[in-house]
Order: sequence, then C-alpha cells, then structure tokens
Amino acid sequence: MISVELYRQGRPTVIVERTDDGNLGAWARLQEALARGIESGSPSRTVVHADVFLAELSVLRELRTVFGERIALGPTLSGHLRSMAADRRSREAVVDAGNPDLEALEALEIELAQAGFKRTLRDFQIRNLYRLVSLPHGADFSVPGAGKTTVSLAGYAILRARGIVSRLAVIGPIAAFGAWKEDLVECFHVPPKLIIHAGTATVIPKNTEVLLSNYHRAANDYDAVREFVAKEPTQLVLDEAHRIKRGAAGVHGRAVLDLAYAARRRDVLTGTPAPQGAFDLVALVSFLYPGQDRQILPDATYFEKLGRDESVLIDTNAAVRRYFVRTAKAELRLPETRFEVIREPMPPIQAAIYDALLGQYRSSFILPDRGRHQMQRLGRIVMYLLEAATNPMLLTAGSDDGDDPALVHPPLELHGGERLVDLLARYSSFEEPWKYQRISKIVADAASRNEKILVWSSFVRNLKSLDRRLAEFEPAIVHGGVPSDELAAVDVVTREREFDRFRHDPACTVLLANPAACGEGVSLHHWCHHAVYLDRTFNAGHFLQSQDRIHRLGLADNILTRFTLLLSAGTIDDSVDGRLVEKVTALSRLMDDPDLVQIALPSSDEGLDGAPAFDDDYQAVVAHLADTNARSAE
Amino acid sequence: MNPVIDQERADFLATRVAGAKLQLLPQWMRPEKELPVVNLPVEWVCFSTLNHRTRAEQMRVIMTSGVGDLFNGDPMGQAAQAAQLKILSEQEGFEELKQDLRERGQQEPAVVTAEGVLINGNRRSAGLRNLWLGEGLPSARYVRAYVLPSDATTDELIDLETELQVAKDYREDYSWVNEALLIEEIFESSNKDWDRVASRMRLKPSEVRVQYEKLQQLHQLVAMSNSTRYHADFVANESAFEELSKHVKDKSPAEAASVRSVYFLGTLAGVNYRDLRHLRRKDASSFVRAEFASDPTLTSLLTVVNSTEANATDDLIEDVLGDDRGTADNENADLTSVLSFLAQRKPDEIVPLPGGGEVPIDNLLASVKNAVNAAANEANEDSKDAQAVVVPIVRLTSARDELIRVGTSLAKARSHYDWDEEIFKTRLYEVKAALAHIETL
Repeated sequence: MISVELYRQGRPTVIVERTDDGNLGAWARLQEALARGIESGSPSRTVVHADVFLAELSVLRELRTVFGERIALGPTLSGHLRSMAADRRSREAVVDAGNPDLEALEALEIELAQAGFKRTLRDFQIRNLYRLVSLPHGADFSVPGAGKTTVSLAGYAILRARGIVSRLAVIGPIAAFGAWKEDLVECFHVPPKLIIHAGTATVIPKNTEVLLSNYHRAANDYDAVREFVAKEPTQLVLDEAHRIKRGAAGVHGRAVLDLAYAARRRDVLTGTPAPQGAFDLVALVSFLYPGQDRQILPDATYFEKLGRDESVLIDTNAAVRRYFVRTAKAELRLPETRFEVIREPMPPIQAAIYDALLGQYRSSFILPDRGRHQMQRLGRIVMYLLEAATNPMLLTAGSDDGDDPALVHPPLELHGGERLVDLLARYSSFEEPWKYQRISKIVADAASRNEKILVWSSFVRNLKSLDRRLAEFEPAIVHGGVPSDELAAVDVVTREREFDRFRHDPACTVLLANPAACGEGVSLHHWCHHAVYLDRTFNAGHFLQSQDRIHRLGLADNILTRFTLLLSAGTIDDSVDGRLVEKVTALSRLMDDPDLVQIALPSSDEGLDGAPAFDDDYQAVVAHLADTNARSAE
Repeated sequence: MNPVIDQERADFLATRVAGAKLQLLPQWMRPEKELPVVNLPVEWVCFSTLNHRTRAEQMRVIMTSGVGDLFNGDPMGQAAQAAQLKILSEQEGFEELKQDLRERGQQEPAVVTAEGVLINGNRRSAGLRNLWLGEGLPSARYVRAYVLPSDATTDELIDLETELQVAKDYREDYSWVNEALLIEEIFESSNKDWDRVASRMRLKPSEVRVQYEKLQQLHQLVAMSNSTRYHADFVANESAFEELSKHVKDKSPAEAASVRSVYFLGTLAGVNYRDLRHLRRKDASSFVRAEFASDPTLTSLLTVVNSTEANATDDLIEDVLGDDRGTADNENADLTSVLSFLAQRKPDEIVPLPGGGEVPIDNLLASVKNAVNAAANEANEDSKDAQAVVVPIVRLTSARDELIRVGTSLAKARSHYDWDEEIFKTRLYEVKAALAHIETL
C-alpha cells in the first residue's frame, strides 16, 4: 500500500510512503512521475513539492489500474482534493451557464450595495464582476485603466458578504499601492483595516483585514504572509500578475505559487497576461488552480518556443477564455491614438561606430552555435547595439545603478588601438545624437504650446543626459534609482513627488522615465497626451503598459493621444520594432482582442512594413548581425 | 554494526590476523587504511549475499525458488552460499576469469569482514574455489585477503563496495541493472540527494540519474509481469530502457504513456531497440494499435484481455481529474492491458480465443513482435515523408552557413603562399551557376 499526505505549514509538501508489501513497479512509476519535485526521502518515503505531486495526480490512477496498488490518502490531502474537485465542477458549471441576463446583473448590483460597497460600477465592470464571482478563482485581464482594482474590491465585498472569505491579501508592485489605498477608501462605506507589509519587521495586528504587500517582500517574509493568509479564509489577489510569469523557476513566482495553497480564493489581475506568448499563462493558471494547470491548458502551451504559433494561440485561447474576463481597450471607448514613426539614418560617425560594433560581433554570431554562454553574451551585445543606435557615448559607461536589473551590463571593453576607440573619441567633438536633437525640438515646441511631454528610455543614462540637456524645462525624472517613499524627508526626491511636480508644476513640462520603474500603476492622462520613445527593448509588456500611462479611462473625447517612436534606420531598433509587432499581435489573439493591434501599434503606413518575422528575439538579433545589408538599406 | 557475529569464525580469523603484515587499502574510508592481509582456505571464506553485483540475479532466484529470505535469512548458511556460488559461476565472463586465475593466479588481495565474508573478490574466490575443488590446482587453495576490523558498520561496508566498484578495474564487472540497483540503494539511503549519490559513485549527477531512471522503468515492467519476468532477464535491453527513459522525461503525460506502453510491449516481445526508436512519438500507441487491428489473432487477444479487465473507478482522485481521457488514452489502456496480460503468462501457456481455437503465448508474442515492427516501419516512413518536405531548406541552410565560413576564413587563406586564386574563382563560378539553376526550378 502507498499512503500520501499533504503538509501545509511552511512550503506545501507531500509525503509519500510505502509499506513493505507495496508493489515495486507502482513505487517505481511514482518515483519516475515525481522525479522533478523530489526533495528528500528514504527507501520507503519520498518527500515531494505539492505542485509536482498534484500535477502528476493522474499517476495514482495508473498505480491502481496497472499495478493493482492500494492508495491511502491522508485527511489534509483528501480535504485539498475535495476543494480541487469542487473548483473543477464549479468552473465547468460557469462555462455552461452562459451570459448573465439583465435581471441577474441588477440583482448583483443590489447585493453589492448591501455588502457595503458604495462606488457605482460601469456596465462592463458589473458584467466582469458577475463572471468573476461565479468562478471559483478569477482572472481579470482587462487593459490598464479599466478599473481592475475596483472590480476586484467589489468581488471581495461580495465574497465577504457571502461568508466565503473574511480577509484580503494583495500582492502587487509598490507603484500600485496608492491606487489600492485610494480605492479602499472610496469603495467602502466602512473601509476595512489596512496594513502595508513593509518587510520582515512588519507586525501584522490581529484585526487587520487587508494586507498589501509586494512580490519581493512576500517572498522574503513568506512565513508571515502565509500565516495571515492561512489563519482565516482569505482572498489572495496578485496585481500586475504577469510578474510571476517565470513561475516556479523565479523566486517571487515560487513564493506566490506556494502561498496559493493557503488561500481560500485566488485572483490574478493584469492587462498584459502574456507579454511573451502563450507560455506566460502557465504560471498564472498554476496559481489559480495549483496542480490543475495541465487539465486546463493544452500541451503545446508548455513549449515556450511555440508561444506565438498561430495554432497554439488559438488552442490556448480556447482553453482559457472561459476562465478570465477582459475589458478590451476598444470597449473603454477611449479617444483615438496616433502613432508617428520617425526613422532616420544616423549621422556619419555614429553610423561608423555602429558598423564597427556590428563587425566586431558579426563573425562570432552568424554560425549556428547557440550555447548558453553565447546567449548571455548576446544579451550584453543587445544592450551595446541599443545604446549605439541612440547615443554611442553610453557604450563606455555601462549600466546605471537605477537601471532595470534585466538590463545591467558592464561598459564596453576596449583595449585601445581599435577603430572604435578612435571613433568614440571623435564622436563627442563632432556629433550629437539625432534622437536627442529631435526630443529637444519636440519638448520645446510642446512647451511653447503649454503641453507636456513624456519621454521613455530604457537606459537611465539617457534619462540623466536628457535631464541636463532639457534643464530649462525642469524635467521630472523617475527610474529605479529614484526611491518610492511617501514618508521621506521633504528634501528627498521621490517618485511620488516627481510625478506630482510633472502633474502640477507648470514649469515642469517633461517627464523622463523608464518603463521598468513606472510602466505600471501610474496615471498621467489628465496632464500629458504625447509620449516619445527614445528607445525600446524586446519587452512587449513594458511597451504596452507604458502607453497606458497616458491613454486610459477618464480622457475627454476630443483628446488625441500621440506616441512618437524614434528609430535609427537599419539598426537593432528595426529588429526590436518587428518583434514587438509580433508579440502584441500574439497577445491580441490570445485575449480575443483584435483591436489591440490597432490601438497599441503603428499601422503599416505609419511605420515600416514587412517587419522581420523571426521565431524569437535571439534570432532577430542574430539576423540583424548577419544582415550585412541592413545598414545600407536605410 | 554487526550485532550477531559468528564468534567461532571470528576467532579463527583473529588468530590468522595476529602478526599478519599490513598493506594499504586506499579505498577503506577510515584514517587507518593499512589492514592485515592473510591467506584463507578457499572453502572457508563466505560469499557476500549483499553484493550488488549479483542483486538482479538474486531477485530472480528468490522468485523462482519461492524462498523470500533465501539470501538474508541465513546468509552464511549452506543454501544461501550454494545459491550465491551458482550465481557467481554463471555470470558472464566467469570462464575467462578462471582461465586468468589458472595462468596468473590471484593478483590483488580480496577483502573480507572480521568473520570472513567477502566484501570484494567474490567472483575471484568463486573461481579459485572452482579450480581447487574441481581441478585440484594447488595455487588456488588459498585466497589472499585484507581483513576489515570487527567493528566495521554496514554503511562502511556499502561505502567500501562503492569505492571499489568505482575504481576503474572493477566497474565493468557490473551489469547495468546491478549498477543501477546499487545507485538506487545509495540514493534512498542518502536522503534522495543526487549530489551525494554522484560524489559517492564518482559520476556526474546526470549520469547517476540516468541509471536510476532506467531502473524505474525496468521495475515497472518486471512488476507488471507478476513474477514471471525478472530484472536479470533484461540485462541485454539496456539501450531500449535508456532511450525510453530519456524520451519520456519531459514529455506530456499522454505521450509518455503512449511511448512507454509501446516500448514495454516491444521489449517483452523481443523487438530490437533500433526499431523501437521510430516509435518515440506521441502517436506510437495508435500505430501499434492499428497493426493489432489488421491481425485477426491480435484482435481476438484484445477481446480476451478487455473481458478480463476490471477497472476500479471511484472516488476523489477521479473526481479531481474528471473524465479527461481521450482516444489516445484508450489506445494506451488497450496496450497496457495487453502488456500486463502477456507479461503475466509463461511462454508455453495456452490462451483460449473467443469463437474457438487456442494459441500459445509464445505465438502471441511473435505476433506482437511483428505488429510492433510493422508499426515501427510505418512510423519511420511517416517521419521520412515529413522530413522530405524540409530537406531542401535544411541543405540550403547548411550551404549558407558554409558560405559564411568561407568569408571568415578567406583573408587568412589568401595570405598563404600556396593560395590558388584561380581554383577559388572556378568554385565560386560553379556555386553561382548552381544557384542560378536552382532559381530556374
């Protein structure tokens, strides 16, 4: 006989034990199935992570039918399996239930008011709410600005009134804390008691009803957060949930996936659930339904490479569409956007620098050798090429402390004597980046019309250079090196203060920001209607989220929101552009949101068409390196 | 510890040890690595029944004799020792070993415990005993052996065996099954930590894992046979188990199940692993199932099998999983039923078929072999067709890569004295002509 039990204190773990008369084949089959999650054990015992065990649950069926082995399930595991079975039945029932009629929606509105919720929801929000509360666990993939926070709090109010949960734990980026705090006050007649989890030193009082934490702190102080979630029936909400897309492989992902076991109800909120393709959904579904993701998602979703394959997108969409709600950007009836792509050749010395750089890497990357080391090197090369395409002076500086950790790289290594050294020395005396010149002009023109400009760059050094160059416009600047702290001393520059200065100080007409630090959770649409992208990376999530800072619900109908993309012709800027088109298109397929492509991308007559259609970013860069004509085809 | 030590034997050995010369045994893990070496009568030493080198064979003897504790009830008793000697004498290469001992005698000392049980040198001692008792060869009368201290623990004995096993000279004596059994035992006794197993075996973690994973597949097939097939029967099938366990590792559950059932069935029926290779694909069981359908005997077999099949479906697990089994799962279920049906019967058993007639298991296995072979052929043809579609692209891609290499090597070649620009130009012209031709197609 084989006995199995789940242990939920700390990290969720399953212990499997066999008796002496156990079937050796059954035991072997079980060890094979659990292999990737085995943590420790002895001849008669195996300790395995709960995720892996639940994902391989069907093997128990095999042990019985093929080997005739008896299985004894422990009481905790049985309880957990019963709730999984109930989850399965209720999510399948929702699918059959179809769309709600008007009467049902009205009833829900009344129930919501009785639950102490005072804000009035819009039509699409109440429809989303209806579906979310009828699912055992919910996913809201509505675009930024559609009011996911409000709908989520409405869901909590309903579930609390129905006696299903009595606490709420929200894990999200710090930038979104402000919105949660404001909404809690504005949505409830009696706002629930809120505590902001500031890390391991935080004491969580017993009467806390809502806990607000971020991914990093929740992972570092896992036990305290788990304790809060497990003690009473708790709704656990992940805001900007795409941050866990690396799933169990990432530290943050691992921690929240483990927390999932302690929560009575789980929800994920993100407008960009799959910025890289279908595979990104695996972590989200695993969080909502631990151990059941394989039952929900088709096999092909698990192959990261196929993540933007047409048929995979269709199949994955068909598998998950019933489990999430999405208010598409088009449904918000936002006023229009206009994209302007400015694609210009680089001036001669910059072009020579770019070519020299390209030549240096070309020979080593065109041959089909794709080791891991190569991949890491390639990441660095991408940084250098992006820098060279915008401002070659960044090459010798390396990354800034405030940069997105994903972009950290050393200065370009130069040994002296190369042509590059000579070119770089001449560059600063004879040329300046055309993109900088263009931005200066855009900012100055706007200032003369009393308009404000938002400038995006992924590199903090660009932001700092522009800060000096645009000094007369008193730029506000926000990046990873600017702290987020509302309680900081008056003379400290914080993100919140910079945003406020940009919003309210007439002298400050430009905001310089990087998408990693302020792509999420910030609203600037009342103050600014024109964003300029100095450069972009392969990160489609950043690109989409950054647009939503100025293009969101609440804009007046007559406002045109403009996006200007600056591309150095024939450089990596073109490859990035092509790849972003592909990723956004894939996301629109996955989310049944065809308008996304129109709204969030330049249409083909606004930019260059025939973007390179490569399998992945790696190939796009390698193709760029290999394409000796790229630079001559400007 | 050895709580029950045979005092009489221990005393006998102690008298020999007194005054014996010490010799270095580097693999002994204690700091005192110099141990007494003595000559012991070859009939007096006992074979170790714990030795992993014979584990698979022991499992077979236990099953066929029906004596569950044959080797661990009274390991030094007559029955256990006789069975162990028989196993050792029947292992592959035993005659060659005897010939070597006849010509060169015992080269390295064996290793015995304080009561004279061989930890190392079992096969050589069996060979010497055979030569002394059978041929009266005087040089085979004594076996020279290191004597371990009387307080050596079981753990130390396993460690020593492992150390000696990994020393180069000893490794090849282990069949893959026995080596994998040793790895499994170390894995289970070291808190299932692959790094520890690897360091003890002097192998990489990935290497010990591969052996372990192969063994888990073998355990399953043996268990399905319900004591009619043994681990030792599959020593020759290492490649099939290796390819199977590698293939199913990261596959979807459906594909893993499909490939596993086909591999088991094929291995049981004697299909060569090179043919099975073609069936490493998701639809493997569909291919085999289709061949079953075209063979009347096998179609009848399916009827017989399915009528005896009792499926226990109830409870919680089913409730969680729901009914998500598709056609592929049904085909797998069919094959798994056939598999356990065939595995549980001896080759000479007779199976009555529905609608009269009967057929020996042996013939059924032959039919299964044909069916799996035919399925492998079909699958092979199928993938060749699929490959044919991309052949021109593959060729063109490698040509492109080669041409790029030409560019990078050209400058260096040109600087060379022997460089022939004429030949270079001719080749270049030929390439251009070939390209021009392709473009006209």
